[in-house]
Amino acid sequence: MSSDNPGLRLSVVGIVAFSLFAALFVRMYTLQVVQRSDYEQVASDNRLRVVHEQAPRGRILDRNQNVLVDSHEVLQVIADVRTLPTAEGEPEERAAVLGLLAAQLTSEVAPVTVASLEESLADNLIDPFAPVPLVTDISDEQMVAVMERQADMPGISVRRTTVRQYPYGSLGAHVLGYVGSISQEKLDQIDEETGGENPGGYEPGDEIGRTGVEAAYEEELRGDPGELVLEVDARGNVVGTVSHRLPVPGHDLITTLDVNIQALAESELASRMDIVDNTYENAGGSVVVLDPNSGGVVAMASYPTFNPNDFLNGISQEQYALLTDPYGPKALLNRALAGEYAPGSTFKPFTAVAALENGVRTPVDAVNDTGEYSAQNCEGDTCTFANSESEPHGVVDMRRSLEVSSNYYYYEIGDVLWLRRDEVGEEALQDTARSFGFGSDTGIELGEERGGVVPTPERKARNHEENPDAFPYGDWLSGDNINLAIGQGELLSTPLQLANAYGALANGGTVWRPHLAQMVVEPIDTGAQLRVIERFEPEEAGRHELPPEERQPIIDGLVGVTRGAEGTATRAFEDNPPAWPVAGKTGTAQVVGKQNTSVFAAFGPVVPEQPPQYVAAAFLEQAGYGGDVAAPLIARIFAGIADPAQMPMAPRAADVFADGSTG
Amino acid sequence: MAAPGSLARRPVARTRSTVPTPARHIDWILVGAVVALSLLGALLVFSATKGPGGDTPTTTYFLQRQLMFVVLGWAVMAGVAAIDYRHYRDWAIPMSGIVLALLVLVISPLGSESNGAQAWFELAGFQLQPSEFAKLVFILGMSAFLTYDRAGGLDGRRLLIAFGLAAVPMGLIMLQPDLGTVLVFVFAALGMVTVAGVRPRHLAIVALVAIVGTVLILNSPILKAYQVDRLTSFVSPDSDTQGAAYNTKQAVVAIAGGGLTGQGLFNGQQTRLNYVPEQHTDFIFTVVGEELGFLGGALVLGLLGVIVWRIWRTAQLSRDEYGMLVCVGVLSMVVFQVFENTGMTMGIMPVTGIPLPFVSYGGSSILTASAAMGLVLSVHMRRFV
Repeated sequence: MSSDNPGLRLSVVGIVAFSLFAALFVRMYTLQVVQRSDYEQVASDNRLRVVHEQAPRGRILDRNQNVLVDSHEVLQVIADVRTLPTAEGEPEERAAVLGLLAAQLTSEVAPVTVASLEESLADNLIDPFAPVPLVTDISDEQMVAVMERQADMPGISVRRTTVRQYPYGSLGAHVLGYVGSISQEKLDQIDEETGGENPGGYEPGDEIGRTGVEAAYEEELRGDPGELVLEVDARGNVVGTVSHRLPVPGHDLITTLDVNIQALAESELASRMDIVDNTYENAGGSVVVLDPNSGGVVAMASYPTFNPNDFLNGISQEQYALLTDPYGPKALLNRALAGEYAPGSTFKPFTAVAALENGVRTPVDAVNDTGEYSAQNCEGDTCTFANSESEPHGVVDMRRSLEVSSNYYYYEIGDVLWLRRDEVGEEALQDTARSFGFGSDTGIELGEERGGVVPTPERKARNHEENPDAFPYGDWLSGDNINLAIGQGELLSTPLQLANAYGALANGGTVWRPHLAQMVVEPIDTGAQLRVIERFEPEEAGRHELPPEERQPIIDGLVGVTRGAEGTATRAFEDNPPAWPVAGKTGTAQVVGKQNTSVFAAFGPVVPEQPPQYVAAAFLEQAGYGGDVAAPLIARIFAGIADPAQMPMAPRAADVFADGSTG
Repeated sequence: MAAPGSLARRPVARTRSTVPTPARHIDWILVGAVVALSLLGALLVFSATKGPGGDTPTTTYFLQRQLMFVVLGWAVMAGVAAIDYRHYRDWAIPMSGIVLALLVLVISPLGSESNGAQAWFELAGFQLQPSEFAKLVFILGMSAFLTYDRAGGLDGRRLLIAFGLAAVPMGLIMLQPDLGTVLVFVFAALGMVTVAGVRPRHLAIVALVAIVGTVLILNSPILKAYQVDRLTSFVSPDSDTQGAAYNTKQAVVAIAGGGLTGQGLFNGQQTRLNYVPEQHTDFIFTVVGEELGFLGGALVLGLLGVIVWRIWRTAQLSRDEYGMLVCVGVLSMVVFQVFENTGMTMGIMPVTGIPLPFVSYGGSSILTASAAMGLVLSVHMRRFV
């Protein structure tokens, strides 16, 4: 640049000016034409406030349309703990806010105190960012009183929400499950699974079914959330409504449960287990009642139980810790499908089937039960196997072997099947067990199911290989087969599996997939016609055809158990006689280091006109002999079912409250 | 050095009159662009201030005042142009004295504060901003100094004196504080010394001093914290959603939302709901972008471009170096204000309180810009006399 050429210098200024204008044009073009769509979302996020409205959740009903879980729309005062003054940082402001809130809420009916509000807040939520419900179900007047002073109460607001209501209190808690605020992990998981689509429209703080039917039929029960889109100005003032999509209520679900049978099963189980529990810590139990002609679950009880109401307003950490303590009573565990137990003698009918089908026994073949069986060609250390208390039963055929529960008879079957393994296969017993559903999930809708164990030579070898200290022997010996034949050893079954297998005995060989859902319907209006959305047909999970000549001697034996002169459950059934004949089998499973598990499985009515309508199984930990505890329990349930006049009505939570006792 | 007049490609044939009449050589293109832009500006100010619509009554207060300023501005432009620009050289010293006195007075209790800067006099319902007029006087004074007794050319000593003189009004404005206007001074001065023949080595030193000075100012206690925030937040616009960067983000979102053809006059969503702050003044370009789109923005920038082109052309045609430097000073001022103002709304420049000439609402801004155009017109008209 030379000092004597102003023209050139002017050009420089011109070029700089031109370049700056050009830069502005480029930037403007980039923003408005190239990147425009990138900013559209930002613009609407800015201008629009989306108010998410959860749909009223569908109800859960029993087979007779009694409402088991209801939805109730309420006004709820909530606290946003991130905005509310903290107890540590600003105790005076906090006290002022809560004091004002208490004053605004207090009516003559129910006084609200700062202490009670602090208590709600102190129930530290599992999710620290979810809004804390402070007072639920306030009146319209109370809502107005709170909203009038909202500016003076940072962090406090009122929302309209629906809450779960349990007309029968904690009845069916394990099966029905509970709802809770959706967790961030679950939201992330939904996002991942649906590629960010989130078809259920879940938002943080939304209710979601956590367990049981609530979780299994979440999609049907949830409904479609509504969306109110408001236009707001820069100060946050609402200028107008842009759109309002009303929430679509969830569908109602009619289950296969029968509320009265469920209530009876729970109270019978509890009355027995409360006694056991007093003596032996953390003993649990369960009862399952199925429809053997479809697999529908009529009742499913697990002891100890919990109150789903506790989860409604945010459960305290202390409560949650107690419920989930692995060394505690594990009240959340649904033992009916997640408890695995040795079935003991209740397995004998299946051993009998294996014997008949592999030509080891005919129904009339008799053996002399001396009370102590010696294994032929004994290979292991233990070669003699005794009856319960070594009691000899004398001459037993198949029918009597079941009635008196002869171990000797079945020891021999197990021994012979193993001796003749070249002919019948190494796993003749196991194959039979598996064909009735043992050793694998039944496929019920509920998520927490366990599949039990059917021990095999291969499994024994693998266990030994992996952990020789815990499993010192790797070879399957005749003793293993002998123990398996009476349902002991490594054999484990859930109560649901056992009931379902007995269902196949009852119906002639069909192993149904147990299920709880009968149909999904439009929200039920009293008196109006049901509008069915989806009907669930029974599903066959397997089949083990039982010809009458095989089935009859077994049924005869099982009826003998409850009515024969020598039946192991005859006394139990004499004390609580059902109106029709029942076929059943007691079991007493030995558990190392603990008292015996009392087991009973049965079905009825056993009449010529129709197939049995109910099948049940009960397992009671540490409760003793099957004939003493589990059998009378099921006898009483069947007595109730068989005589509806005698059947107590399930108590409603409101009734319970009315008479002053707790719900 | 060649005679200043030699720059002009003067036609050999003289005009019909033997005595050239300045009124015959008015630059109607510049006048037309100014009139069109200021009317368009008034419309945009109306859109930004008429209220949210719906049930709210429409406000025409700002429109009326802006139209009044615009018309007043045309009168000022005509009045300034009517006077031979060479007289302004003679009046440079007294005018500078008056402006400096006003700049001192405005930071005394006589001035009033708004938006954190003590920059206004409240007079009969109007806000007078002396720093706006100081820009013009500064250009006139600087041009006078740079063309006075130029025997030794623009050596380092003269340059130092020039910046020493410039530092006085800039220092006073910095005390308000109003960094944006100070930057206008810096840019105008850089333009003028460039054309006046600064040596490249000196220019480099000046640039270095300007950079160091800016850094020092940013770290000095003169600027209020929010001003530093505004100036630095454009570096990371997502760092803060409610503070300084919030303004920029909202402005960018509004402009991008306009797309090619805009959402329609009076229909900008962000504009209507007041998402962008100071929308009728410093952020007026967001109304252009959102409501009139890329085409409208191109029209506004195009009209400003025409104005800049005519100023540049007048500098080229000027019969003397004084006229040329005045035009370069005005050109630098306008270019910097346009670039800084629209650049800030589009997120490529930091946020400072600089109005967009002829478009932003405000009397001082319009009158200053109009007077500046009057100066340019005066140079243009008198290129032959």
